[in-house]
Amino acid sequence: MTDTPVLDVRDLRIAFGAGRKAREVVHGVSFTVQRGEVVAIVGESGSGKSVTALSLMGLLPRGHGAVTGGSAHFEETDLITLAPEPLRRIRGARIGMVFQEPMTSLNPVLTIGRQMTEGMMAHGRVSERQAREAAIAMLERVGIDDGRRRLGQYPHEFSGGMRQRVMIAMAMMMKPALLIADEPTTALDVTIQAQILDLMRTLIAETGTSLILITHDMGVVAETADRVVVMHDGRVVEEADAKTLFAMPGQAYTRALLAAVPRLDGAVAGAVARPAGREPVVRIDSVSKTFGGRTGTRALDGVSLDVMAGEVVALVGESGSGKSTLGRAVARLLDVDDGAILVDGHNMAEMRGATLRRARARVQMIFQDPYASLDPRFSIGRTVAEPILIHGGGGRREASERAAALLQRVGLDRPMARRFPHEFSGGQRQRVAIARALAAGPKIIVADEPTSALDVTIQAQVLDLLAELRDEQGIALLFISHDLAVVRQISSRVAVMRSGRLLETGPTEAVLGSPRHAYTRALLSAAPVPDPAKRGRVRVTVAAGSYPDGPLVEAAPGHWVAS
Amino acid sequence: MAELSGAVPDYDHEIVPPGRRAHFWRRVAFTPNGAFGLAVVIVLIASAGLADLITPYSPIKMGVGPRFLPPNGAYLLGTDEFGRDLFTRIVYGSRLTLMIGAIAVGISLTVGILVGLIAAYRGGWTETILMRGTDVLFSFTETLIALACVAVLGPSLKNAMIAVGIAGIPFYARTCYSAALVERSKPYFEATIAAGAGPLRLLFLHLLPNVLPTMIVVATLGLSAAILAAAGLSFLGLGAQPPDPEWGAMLSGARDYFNRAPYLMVIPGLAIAVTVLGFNLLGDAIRTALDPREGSE
Repeated sequence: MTDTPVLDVRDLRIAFGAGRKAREVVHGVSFTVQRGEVVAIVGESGSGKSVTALSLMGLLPRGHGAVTGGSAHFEETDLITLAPEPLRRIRGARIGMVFQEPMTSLNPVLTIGRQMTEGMMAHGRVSERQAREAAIAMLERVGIDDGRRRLGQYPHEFSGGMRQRVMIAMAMMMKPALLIADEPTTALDVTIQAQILDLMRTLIAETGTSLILITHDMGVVAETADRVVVMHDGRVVEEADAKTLFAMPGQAYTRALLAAVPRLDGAVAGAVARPAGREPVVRIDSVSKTFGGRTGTRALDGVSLDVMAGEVVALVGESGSGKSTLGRAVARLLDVDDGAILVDGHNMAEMRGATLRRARARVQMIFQDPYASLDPRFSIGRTVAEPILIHGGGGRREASERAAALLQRVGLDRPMARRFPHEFSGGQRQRVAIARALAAGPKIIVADEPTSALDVTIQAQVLDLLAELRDEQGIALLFISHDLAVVRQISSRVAVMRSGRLLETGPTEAVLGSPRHAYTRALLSAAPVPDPAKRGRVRVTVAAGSYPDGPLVEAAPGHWVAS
Repeated sequence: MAELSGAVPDYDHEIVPPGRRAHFWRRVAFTPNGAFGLAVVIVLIASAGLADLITPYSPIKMGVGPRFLPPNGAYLLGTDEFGRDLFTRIVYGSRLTLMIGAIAVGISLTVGILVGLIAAYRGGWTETILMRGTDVLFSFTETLIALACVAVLGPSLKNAMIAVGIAGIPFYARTCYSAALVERSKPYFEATIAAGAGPLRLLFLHLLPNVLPTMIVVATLGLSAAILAAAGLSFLGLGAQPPDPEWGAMLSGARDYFNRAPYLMVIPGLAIAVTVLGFNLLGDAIRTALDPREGSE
């Protein structure tokens, strides 16, 4: 590569706060992006990867962050010292941006067409008519047909994946030299993620645009990047081309990061065989639930599933598959229309009042968002002590003593009990939520995407903790997740759901190793693999309604598939 | 942008976490609006508390001086038609004003919070009845409701406070309801249900503390409206009765002598206006200081 790079960042320094309170968060970051190259910036929260990207666009939070040193030359212009007006001309026109949240980054009250043509017209290049023609052509390129009609629609008329396609189309409208994508697929389902990643690679190859991909997901990196910049604590730890990085990581931090990524291949340490011959803790018997009246969406459609004591059963599926609804139904946070859910032999659906409240101790929940799942006005000691107090575990002193012991068990220090949720990191908050769930003395914990908001290294720790608790206390776990690699690591059985129907269930090795159902195969083929050598695998896609979703038939011992 | 957390203030805080309160009050007092509002409120509270010490005469005894004396050295703000010292009456009036504001807002706030919390927590038909009832009350102006209440209860200072309090309920109920709905949908609330908590614990240990910051801001802003409404009722002769030194009533009593002694109307009028402005600005400053988007660490 003898060309001058499209982007040449040198010794970039960024600080937050002003005056005496200023704190440097990016300490001299340098990297280059060549023409037509895909550079991934990976790192965990707080690594400075997003801040670095935002600073290039002059989009640091106003009044909070500022670039304090270094340069970022883009086509011979230093973006850092550029005045706001010329920077605005470059932004959107020469550098496009795609954000994580496709709903909030599109304006809900303007049509797609208006938003797509806005940039072209603002930069004064074309007439409205030409802009619309270009928009239709671009929509077609990102795989959205019937562009003329689609231009008149509003963002809410598109699905999440479609919206992200619109975002990409919008960013590519101006034929930018550089596209910055900040976690572009994090909010999407795996099958959609695979499509979007493929689309971005194709577009890059066709147009010669360069791409900076900011992500925390090593799988996404392996699927798309030519070169990888690993960031940690505001510094570049390692920079290498993707194949080298994954095959021979040079730095300890990179190795740790790669080791923490759950994989769909290789040996699994944690999973245990299904305990045989015991009564199920939870028996879900042909449960149905429809939201929004008689004509509404069928979230659960005759689902049956057993969970044995001390067993981890994973519920996998895309958003809208009904997996979270089933989890909430088991915890009786919502009532089902039909069917029964027996917990420890008792039908919780028939209970009322105080009996129900007592019975609730048997099923506890852990949620995805570790901050919102703790009352911000309660110290964490009080949060953990609450279930103990509710279920009459003695006086206040005893309860707080047991709470402290539980906090210690999940790996937090006892004195931390007095602190409040905002003083903790995401991983620590999730540990508190686990301690609270344990405090009630449950038979089963329903964990709804408990690690998907966490960094990979933290995720590995939380998964280890859950596995320990399963072995040590014999608590069963209903583990709801979209991430098959995580599921493979922790669960002994897997249940695959789509559109409220159970499609396949069986031992983890069987379902993920030799899937019988077409949809399971599609899910597996879409899952990003942290290995650049496996790029370009054939993806299986399954359209809605084109697969069997009838009653389950036993295909192999314990392995049931929809017929 | 989970990545930014830690570097910039956490945007998911809607409330001031314990321990940042000193910082919060500094933020209120160091804005021009907040400083003015705070000053007005402090002066008001001081004059109400120290009324007996700082006033030279009795607020209701007639003939402590000549009638219609313009402001001068001995009678700072002059005397009224019965020879009472206006300064003394204004100072004692601040006591009544604060009491009216506090009691009226207290009634609105308590009932409003209860209605809003219960509607949001119970849902279903309870919610329908409570919130549609609120909507009906909302469709009348507050003054009209207050007038209707006084018509039923009879004119007196006590009844005026109750009337203003009742008239304010729908606003507080609706604000509390929407705040409680947001809290109710958060996972921590579901986790507490799953832990087996009963309705009282859920309502008063979890929902209430989390909506209270919002409601306190609303109440500070609502104080000025309540004071103004009560003064209006008194002006119409439906609230405080003579010889109570209530500003609205004083304003009303001085109408007949406007040409002869305009200060008798101007001064109580100014007192009402400055008080209302003060509470408004303070409420606004508190709202701004509590809004995480405005703040900086």
